[in-house]
Amino acid sequence: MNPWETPIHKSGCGVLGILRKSGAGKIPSEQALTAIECVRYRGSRLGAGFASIDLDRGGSAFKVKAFVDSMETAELVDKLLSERQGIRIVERGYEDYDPGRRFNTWVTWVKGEADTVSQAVSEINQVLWGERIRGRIYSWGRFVDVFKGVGYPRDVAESCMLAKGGVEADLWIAHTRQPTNSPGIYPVWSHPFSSHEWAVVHNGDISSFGANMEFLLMSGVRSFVGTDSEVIAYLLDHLTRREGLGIEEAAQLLCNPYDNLCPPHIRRLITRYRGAQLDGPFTVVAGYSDGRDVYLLALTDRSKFRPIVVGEDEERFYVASEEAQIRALSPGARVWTVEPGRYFLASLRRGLIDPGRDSLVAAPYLGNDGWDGGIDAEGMDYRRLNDEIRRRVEAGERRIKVFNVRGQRYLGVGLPPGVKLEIHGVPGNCLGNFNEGVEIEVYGNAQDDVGDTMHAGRIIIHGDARDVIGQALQGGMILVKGNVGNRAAIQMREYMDRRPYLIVGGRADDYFGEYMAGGVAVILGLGVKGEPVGKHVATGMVGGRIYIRGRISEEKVGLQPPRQDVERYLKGLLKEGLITPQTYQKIIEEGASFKAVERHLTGKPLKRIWRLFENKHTKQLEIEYRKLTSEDIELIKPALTEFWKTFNLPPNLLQQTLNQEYTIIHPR
Amino acid sequence: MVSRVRQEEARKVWSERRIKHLQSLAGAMGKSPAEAVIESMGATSPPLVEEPKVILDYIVSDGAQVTRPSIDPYREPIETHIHLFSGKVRLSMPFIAKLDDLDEGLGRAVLRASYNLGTLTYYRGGGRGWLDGYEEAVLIDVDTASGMGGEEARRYAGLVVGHNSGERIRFTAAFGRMLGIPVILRHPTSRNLNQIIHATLSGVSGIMLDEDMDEGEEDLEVSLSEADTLLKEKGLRNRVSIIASSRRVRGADDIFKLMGLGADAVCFRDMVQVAVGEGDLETLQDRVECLYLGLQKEVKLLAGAAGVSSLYTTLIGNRELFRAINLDPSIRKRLRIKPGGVG
Repeated sequence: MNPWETPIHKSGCGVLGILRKSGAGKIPSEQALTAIECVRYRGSRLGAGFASIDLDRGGSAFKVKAFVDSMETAELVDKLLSERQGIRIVERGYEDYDPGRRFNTWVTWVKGEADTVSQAVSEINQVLWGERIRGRIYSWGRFVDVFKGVGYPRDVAESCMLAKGGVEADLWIAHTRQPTNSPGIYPVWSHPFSSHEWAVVHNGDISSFGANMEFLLMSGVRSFVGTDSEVIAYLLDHLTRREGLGIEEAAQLLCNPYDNLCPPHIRRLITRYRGAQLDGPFTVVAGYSDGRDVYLLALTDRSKFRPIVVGEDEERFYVASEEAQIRALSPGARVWTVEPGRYFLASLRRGLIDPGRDSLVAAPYLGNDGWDGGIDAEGMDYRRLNDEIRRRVEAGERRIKVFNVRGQRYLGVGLPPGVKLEIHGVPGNCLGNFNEGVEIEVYGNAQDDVGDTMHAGRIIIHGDARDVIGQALQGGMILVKGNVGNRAAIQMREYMDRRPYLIVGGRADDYFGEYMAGGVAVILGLGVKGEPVGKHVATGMVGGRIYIRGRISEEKVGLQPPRQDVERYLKGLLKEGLITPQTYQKIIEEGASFKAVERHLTGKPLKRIWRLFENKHTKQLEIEYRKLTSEDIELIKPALTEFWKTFNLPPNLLQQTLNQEYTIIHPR
Repeated sequence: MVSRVRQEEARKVWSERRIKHLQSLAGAMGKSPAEAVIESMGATSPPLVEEPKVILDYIVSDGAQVTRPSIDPYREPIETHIHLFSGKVRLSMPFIAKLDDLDEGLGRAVLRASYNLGTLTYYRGGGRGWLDGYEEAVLIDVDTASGMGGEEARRYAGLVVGHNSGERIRFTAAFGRMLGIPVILRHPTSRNLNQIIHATLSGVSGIMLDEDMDEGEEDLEVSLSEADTLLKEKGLRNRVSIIASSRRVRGADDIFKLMGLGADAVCFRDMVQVAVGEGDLETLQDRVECLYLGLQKEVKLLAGAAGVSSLYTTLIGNRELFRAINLDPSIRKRLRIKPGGVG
């Protein structure tokens, strides 16, 4: 098949990574299985897989694993390997053999240089990947081992002997697959994808796929199965092995930081290795070994269009799509999320290298008081748990406690007003959606999409919440003691006397209040160092008010043109004699923000440069930095009083907090 | 089938719809200068309704969908800047205007607008005195730069050298390297593109594939795509920038598609002339600025619809974002674009 015309197959899925810390025991494969099965519903029967990395495994031979459709193909693989100068086969055979399967795994142990084996693998795969798929070499590391197939994670684990009394390793990654554009009927499309000592699982669908493939073709890679996840493994291997980049440099290149946030040496690398950057939605979890150490790497895209959480306990590091996966193995782990466009990196020997955010903030684990007559949700499927809650409500119960909650979705959805639901543990995604008057109290952290399209009632989170909390919130109140993730309070709205409130005790990531049309969103930043909010606050806001304690940089609010473009236009105005050098200097010193431009320009120069800042569909917002007025206090004090009461905070702190200065954002 | 668009045929690509659209962007007509025109669902665009006139008309963008959401460029950043010549020059948007034989009023207007908006112009005309103060926004042809000393040359964004003499290319490349100025080879859309490989190896920073040169044999689309592919096969692509140049570039859609075929930036001329009409320097400059800002918004909308947040890293040479409809398979293969309907 012409590699330039490979058809593509895409996916959206559940991911997992676990790395042991130095001194801690090796990780049994069953645990990887437990944690990925925890989000079984994120995948389908069309593909799952595992990869392990273990330093002790590393002999001098590469373990080349290939799916083959026949003994003839297996012989062909070995013939092509052995014909290559510099490669010597030391052992060979089926890993397991099931005549009912279209593809079985053939293993050939070879000795040789990594670059020689790499080239041979690429060429053999080109031969096998013809009009008819005869097979595929899917891993060839000395430390990496990949197990994948068609089925749910449990099916694959059982067929690869990973389920009970399985294999131990320093690192595991795992995947459950939801193919959206591909057949998924053969294991060749299952994750993990691997190249040399890298193994990668991915949830996403990248728009850069074509550019990435062109980059790899330019670099000599010739055969692709056509999923975007495969190219990510190739990119990481190429950049570290062939180009000699460090893992962190490669990670930054792939994450593709916004130009205005890009360190100069990374910008130079982007120009040099253009085409290696990822764009569009992705959460990538990768394992890697350089033979001396083992690394767990996780990447997320600029917009953070896919979920990712990271965890740590005494013994291990974790990366997962959902917090419940981490809690399934380590109930008390410290869990946080990666900032959009950033990467998380830890290693066996060095420990935490980059947490994936500037300020590592994680709510303390609240534990689980144990069962006291409520529902014990341990091991319960989300449908069964929701049915049980509904059954109790129909039987007349109005106060329902649930313990040992671990990732069950849709809790509190569809319950009648007046019910109080108390949750101990980590509720799954879509908690309290469409709420019309239920009070939900979570003793722990919440996952993504809390209170979507909520009309009335209250949701109280004693820990942190993740992305998209309070989307289209249009009545009632959401109180979060800790932090919220990306895109909180987006599309909030109000109607007549129905004004929703979202109060965040800690900090928020990017796009807080995007498209906000009504209601009140407050970020208190209690105990937070630095500005308690990420980029693009209130972009597209048309109504409502946002209060953030402390001063927020103006360039963080709304959508701003690149600073270089503003500076250049100002230089143009200077050349045309429309502004003085003094004015130019002042605006530059004040950050070339739209506020600075407004402060110093009037008339024609303002009108002209203003086209960079505003258009028919993009308006700048009012940003005030000041003490609260009596109107402000009237608007937010009742909700803050609730917040204080609910979380039992010292009353004098409320008055202090109300006396401080806030950044207040609203439409002009 | 499509044949190469000769200069004398170039005007045929300007449909009434195109002209009005450009004039509204520039503010020469209508009430919303610098605004992308938003139309309703459905389109009259080629190749299915309007008759396709050039190869670009057979190429469509394979838009984003549920798992790869589109990006709203009015609320979220889509980066239109590109870095040319190994990062020596940053363009805020991938536009280069040919000043050649524009009359001086319009030329000045385009030059100033290009400077203000952080883009470039290409000049190969008589005197260069009128460029004074704006050299930073000019790629100057060595024919125009004759007699220029090193100090003056350093003020320009780059030196453009013709393709006729290998020795001259090497000499100019060496001169550029000495002064730290990018040198760009201007090359016709010929069948044989070996010269761009030699030039790249001798140190030029850019290749301008110019369809308006007499020696051209191929359509810009084909020549551009093959140049991009050839440079990739030789592992040289990231050493040079490719500028696709033609007078028949008609708008944001053409620019977007040419980038997908491998152009880092697109050089045009008639589009500006058609859009701005007549007026004094101030009016014309204002219209060019509006045109550019409007085109930038349209490029962002196209990128957003394809789930692309950075033109520089994601769009250039990314053929996977495009599909061809009813295009002659032999041309389609040379462009390396899949037919519509293929995953």
